[in-house]
Amino acid sequence: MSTKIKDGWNTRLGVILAVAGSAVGLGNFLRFPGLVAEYGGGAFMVAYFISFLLIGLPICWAEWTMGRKGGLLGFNSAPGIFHSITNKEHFKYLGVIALMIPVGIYFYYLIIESWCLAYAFNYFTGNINVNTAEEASSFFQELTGITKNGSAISFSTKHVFIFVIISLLCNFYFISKGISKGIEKFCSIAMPTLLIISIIILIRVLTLGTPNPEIPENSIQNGLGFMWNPSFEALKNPSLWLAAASQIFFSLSVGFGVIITYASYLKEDDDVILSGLTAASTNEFFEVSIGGMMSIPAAIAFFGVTGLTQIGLSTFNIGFNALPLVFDAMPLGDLFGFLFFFLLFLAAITSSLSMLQPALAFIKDTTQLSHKKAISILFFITTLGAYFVLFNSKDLKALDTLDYWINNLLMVFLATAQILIFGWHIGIKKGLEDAHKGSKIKIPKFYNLIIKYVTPLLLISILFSWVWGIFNLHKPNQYIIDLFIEPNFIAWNSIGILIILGLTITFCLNLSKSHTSK
Amino acid sequence: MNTLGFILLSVSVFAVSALTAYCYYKVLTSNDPKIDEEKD
Repeated sequence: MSTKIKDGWNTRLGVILAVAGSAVGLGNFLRFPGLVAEYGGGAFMVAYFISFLLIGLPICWAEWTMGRKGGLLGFNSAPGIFHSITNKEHFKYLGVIALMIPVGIYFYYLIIESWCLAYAFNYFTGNINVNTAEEASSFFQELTGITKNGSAISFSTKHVFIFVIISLLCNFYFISKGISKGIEKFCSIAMPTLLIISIIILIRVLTLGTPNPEIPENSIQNGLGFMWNPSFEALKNPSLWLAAASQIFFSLSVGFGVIITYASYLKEDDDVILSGLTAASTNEFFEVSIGGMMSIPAAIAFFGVTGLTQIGLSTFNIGFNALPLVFDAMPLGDLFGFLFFFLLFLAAITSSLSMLQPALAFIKDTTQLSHKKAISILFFITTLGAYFVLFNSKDLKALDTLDYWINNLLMVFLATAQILIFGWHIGIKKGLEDAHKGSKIKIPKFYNLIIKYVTPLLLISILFSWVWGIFNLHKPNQYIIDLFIEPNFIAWNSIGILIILGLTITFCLNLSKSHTSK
Repeated sequence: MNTLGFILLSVSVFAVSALTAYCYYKVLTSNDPKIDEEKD
């Protein structure tokens, strides 16, 4: 059995920052505040923290532990890891899903990352002058090509195409340098930079006061009140609990196939419990302490609750429609606009790098190709996928379809399977024994019951409530309409791409002998 | 912003900041041997 590890982390802090970088993304600064405001303000945090303790941390620790164990058995990609830690060959097919998720997300995440870079560039060069919601929306539509397929493909800096190329090259430059010299080095610089920039913007936002004294109700204080004043009645709403659990789940990047790959580069006596907790808490810090006080309060200080509600509380509305208006109205708006979107770009690139590594490890594990050749294959596959999303930009249909099915079906399924493997197949006693090897802190004993019973039950209920929701034929959601009721060509193509990706991975897996020979 | 909102905001921010600070304190003060010492 091979235990040779060719690349790996240099320091514990390096792997923690890389995992935290994978987790910190647009969701922390844009999606989280929208959810808090929508679901009961401060009351949402009750459900949010409970979900963190009951879902986020258990899966996180399970993934770190299983990843490290798989790595010690000679595997760095999910199929090999699942096969080796369970000793059952058919579990390697679970690894196919663990590869489809990061690669599938990368196809569209690269495009969103490029929007952030495009906004940062246009603020830096003073090319964004939006005075009304219509102008902000029009800039976004032109940049993303939301009105017509293929319209974003142009070399103008008002279109996203050129920024996609730059982001693509950035990603592959760092990924080609390897784990320690590429991902670790980049995240070790990017994460502290992210912290500094976000604190500068936060201070600016919190000192905005009442920008227009003639409208005293439009103030930062009222913005914070809009987000945080609790409505405990909302806790009776099951959707709030589902939204809190989903946010924790997606925000921490669990069930993503990334942590398990990153952890496979650790050594036997490297701590996983403290490292997992540190990476998770770093994500929570960016989400709650910074994201929770930044975008929505700023928007309300300028447009009031009514104005923001008209624009909308979705991730893209807050980020790309509301905030450009805030920067336009703010003194030194171009500077803060540049800093904010550069912050989002950095957060996005630390995440997108993590999406490439699992597939790279798989190509290397299965084909034994050189690093350079494996990078070329990965570049070809991911560029094709990203181009599909970039070209099919009308109504962001391809992006939206991929996002919906990967997040709601594949990620929840993978996380459920992982926690069941950890708590039931490996066994909670053996699993936690593995987790505590080299650990700097102990997992409290009551987590035995949580990991074995509570987390799987909660995940299964999330999965079932989602399935129940989509099969509610009296009120089908848009994604079901796109596939079965009024079939949409792009939506079906997006699903087709995911299926082709899964079949290709399965085909390569079956051709390769390396997953059984180690 | 009402008092309850302020309390929830403060408690949430304090809780995650304290947890993060504690974790980094533990990470930085415990031994951190170079992970790649024994690599090929």
